[in-house]
Amino acid sequence: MLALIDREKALALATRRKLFDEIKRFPGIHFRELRRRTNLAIGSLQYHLDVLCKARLVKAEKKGKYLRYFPVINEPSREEKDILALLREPNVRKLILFLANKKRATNKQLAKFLGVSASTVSFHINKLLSAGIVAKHRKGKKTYFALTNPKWVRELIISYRKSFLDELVDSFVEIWSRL
Amino acid sequence: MFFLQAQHPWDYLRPLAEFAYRHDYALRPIVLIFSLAMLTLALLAYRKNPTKRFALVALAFLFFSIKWALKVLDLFVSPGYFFSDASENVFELIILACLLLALFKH
Repeated sequence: MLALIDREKALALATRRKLFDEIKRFPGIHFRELRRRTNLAIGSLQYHLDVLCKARLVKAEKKGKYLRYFPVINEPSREEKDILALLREPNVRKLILFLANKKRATNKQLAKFLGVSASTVSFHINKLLSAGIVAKHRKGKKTYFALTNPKWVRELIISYRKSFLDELVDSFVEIWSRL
Repeated sequence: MFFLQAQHPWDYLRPLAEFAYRHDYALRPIVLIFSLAMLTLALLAYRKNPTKRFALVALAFLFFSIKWALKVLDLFVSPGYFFSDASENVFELIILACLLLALFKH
């Protein structure tokens, strides 16, 4: 019954179309981020998202503590969804970019790069390990982490990168939050 | 050569003052554009992270933009006389107070 909602009808409303466009622009976006971007009230946003899900235009998936939304058109694969969800976390994104450039690194090197403790790096690395994005291998006494498929990850980063304005705003928020 | 001729400490600032005076018509609108860009960024940051800190930062850049809008207006209304140094000081006091408060708010 739920799937009987017509896609065209579902997108006839300007608010819903805007919401759908945001999800297409940022696959894997979570509820609060969507709320910030659309300025919709929680109830209203939930209602429109339900309609989009019922029309099979959008798919909601629980990733960690967040419920993330993906467009069904040109739907990314499961692995892509995992990495997209992780790429939206600033520290994880930095780790992926670092590993994409350096090929492999130890926990200590990653902690130094991020400026966080080794346990924080372990926390993020474990997420990447369980998603199969990163693999670890031992060499002597050291454990190295490397991307399982660097080329694919690079392509994904390029195709789903944030806009220049997003980067600027994020930098602005980060600088002021650090003070 | 100029540095050898300077008699008073403020003589060293004279080239800068002359440059600023010569290019005042171009500099004011440029600063206004930059301040508006910073205001836009601050407002977007507030939308992304609606805390008191970002509200105060946005307010500081709003006052900064208003100040420069008035300074640009001054070029056309009464070149150089409408917006005095004293009134500029009031704006700067508000801007600095907002930025200082923003440091203590979360």
